[in-house]
Amino acid sequence: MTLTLTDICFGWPEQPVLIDIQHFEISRGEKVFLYGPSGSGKSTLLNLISGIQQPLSGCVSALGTSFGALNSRQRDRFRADHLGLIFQQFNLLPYLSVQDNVLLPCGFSDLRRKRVIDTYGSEVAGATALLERLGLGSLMDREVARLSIGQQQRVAAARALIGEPELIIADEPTSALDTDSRARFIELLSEQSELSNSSLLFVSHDLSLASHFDRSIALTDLNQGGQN
Amino acid sequence: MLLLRIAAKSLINRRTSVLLTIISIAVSVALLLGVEKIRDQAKQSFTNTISGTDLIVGARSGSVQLLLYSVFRIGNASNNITWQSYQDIAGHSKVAWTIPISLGDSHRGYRVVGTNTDYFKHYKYGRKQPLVFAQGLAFSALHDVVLGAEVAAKLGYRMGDELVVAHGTGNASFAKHEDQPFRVTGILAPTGTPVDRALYVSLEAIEAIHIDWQAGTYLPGSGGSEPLETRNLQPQAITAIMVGLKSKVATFQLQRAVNNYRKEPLLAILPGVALQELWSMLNVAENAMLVISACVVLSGLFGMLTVLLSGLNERRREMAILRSVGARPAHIYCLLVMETCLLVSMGILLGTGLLFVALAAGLSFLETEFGLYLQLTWLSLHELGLLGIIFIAGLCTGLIPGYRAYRYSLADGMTIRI
Ligand SMILES: Nc1ncnc2c1ncn2[C@@H]1O[C@H](COP(=O)(O)OP(=O)(O)O)[C@@H](O)[C@H]1O
Ligand SMILES: [Mg+2]
Repeated sequence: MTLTLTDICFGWPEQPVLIDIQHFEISRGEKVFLYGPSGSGKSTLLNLISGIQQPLSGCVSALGTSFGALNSRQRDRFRADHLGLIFQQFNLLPYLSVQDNVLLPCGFSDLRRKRVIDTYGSEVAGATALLERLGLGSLMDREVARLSIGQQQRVAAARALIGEPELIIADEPTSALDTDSRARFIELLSEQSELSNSSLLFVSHDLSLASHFDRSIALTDLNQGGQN
Repeated sequence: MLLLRIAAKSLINRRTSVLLTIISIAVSVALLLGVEKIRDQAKQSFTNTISGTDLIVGARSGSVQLLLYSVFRIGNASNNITWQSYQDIAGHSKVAWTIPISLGDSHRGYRVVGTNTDYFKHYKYGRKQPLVFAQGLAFSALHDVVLGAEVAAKLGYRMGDELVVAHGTGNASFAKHEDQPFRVTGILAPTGTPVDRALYVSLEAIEAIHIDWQAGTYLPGSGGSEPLETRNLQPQAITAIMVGLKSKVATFQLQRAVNNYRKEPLLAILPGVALQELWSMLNVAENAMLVISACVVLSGLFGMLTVLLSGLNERRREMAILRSVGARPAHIYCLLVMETCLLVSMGILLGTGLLFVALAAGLSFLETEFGLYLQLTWLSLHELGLLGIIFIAGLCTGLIPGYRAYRYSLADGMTIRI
């Protein structure tokens, strides 16, 4: 199992319980679509899954490791090693080059750096190969601010994918894109996660995207919290 | 090292506000160092005013007062020394040389010193440097005058020019010894000491110009009509004596002898000790300057803090991204502190550079305008220590935005509500 949630309960400080999920899991290589209206707690759930926030009760476990057993430092390390994240917009550090942005996770995870070097010989070669596969080969040294939003999101995808983490989490990565590039982006992302043998958890409020995935779930069905 | 690179690039990305911050720190650093340097060198040139003189003797008063009027030519003597006392001291078996000094007249704000040619032979300053003539020679005729470097330069006198001495020491002294003009026969090389700011004539000349003066008023003819050439111009009294001894060992012995002199109340001081005493009185002004420049540095650091804190909110996205790729909150903390360290180090480097450029450019100005002789020396240990303190203060300042960012990144996680 790549990810298992059991009986988790969470609310932001001084707010009612937002997340209350009895059971949710993603198996190895699976591509899951999670949808829900905005404000329903999707991003909050992703914070729990990536170990940045801790549930009030219950257990998040990924790749057989229970987050409850780790301290915050170990959870941060775990995230660096095993998770790739993509957000809705402004994913990139504007003052780093495309290549440096892609290679950021390798700076925080020895495991992912080692994987890149083992496969491609060097970090730069790994970044180049990945960007080429995402159709960005010519943009290696381009300033981030001069990329289109679609290109920026593909760079973010490359960063999530580098070093082949076991789980890719995408939080509404396409909501700033037009319909055409939306489909193309999802195609690319699922293709590349398959190649790197990663599971994919794709979150969106747009139900029309569900067809691209193995399985889709509504957060409102899954979640008992935040219904008031 | 990745963090350091990120910090540097992030700073470059915000170059306008960063540059302004660096400049404001640099200016405050340059100011602090400059004040320190001037303070240090002023102290040095102050203690270098006189050297090689073992004792200064004057009428009994305060030791600082004696030092002030005899060496710095500030203020006036309350009393004179009789010629007889001078002879007794000059004839003492332990005494190698003496310089008599007679004060009381001036020329356009500069003091006129009556002395003899021993002044040019024995007076030493700095590291026992003797006085050197830039032009001409010591006075030999009665109405010869030797000018200090600053007097010649500021008043534009050249060799052979004539000038008139005024009675009294105020700049606005109207009573002039116009009947006896002096001719410039020598100009001293600059020393950076009060020597530069005086005119030198013989004791006999002082006596000569005062012939018709009775109790401070000019009564023509009151001194008799005998021509100057045939008169006895040996003065009755002088103002102070500088004494050099054959052996330093005898210093205290002679000092005691002078202080216990029976025929009139005298005071002998050790110039070095009196200089220290005087400098410690100036300490207040000196420390005030230091406090002011420290405040400037502090305000520079506050400026930096303002810039860093006000920019922080816009950078929460940046931190969330770093968190998502595996950075720990501690990393975020470090990143902010590193940024501050970079800012402060750049400020310190730039400020030091600024100071040296300013000093190199302003050296001759300070010299001619203020008689302040600065040397372009590499930073002293003390100054490096000051820079170290500034750096540490900057680092402590950086802890504040660091902590803020740390709290933000804990509260925000990867989601930012803006
Ligand atoms: N960092 C945070 N601190 C406090 N409350 C938050 C934070 N992030 C989200 N929330 C709250 O949680 C609720 C759900 O937000 P979110 O998980 O972002 O929803 P979604 O991603 O589905 O749009 C909102 O009411 C929001 O105010
Ligand atoms: Mg969201």
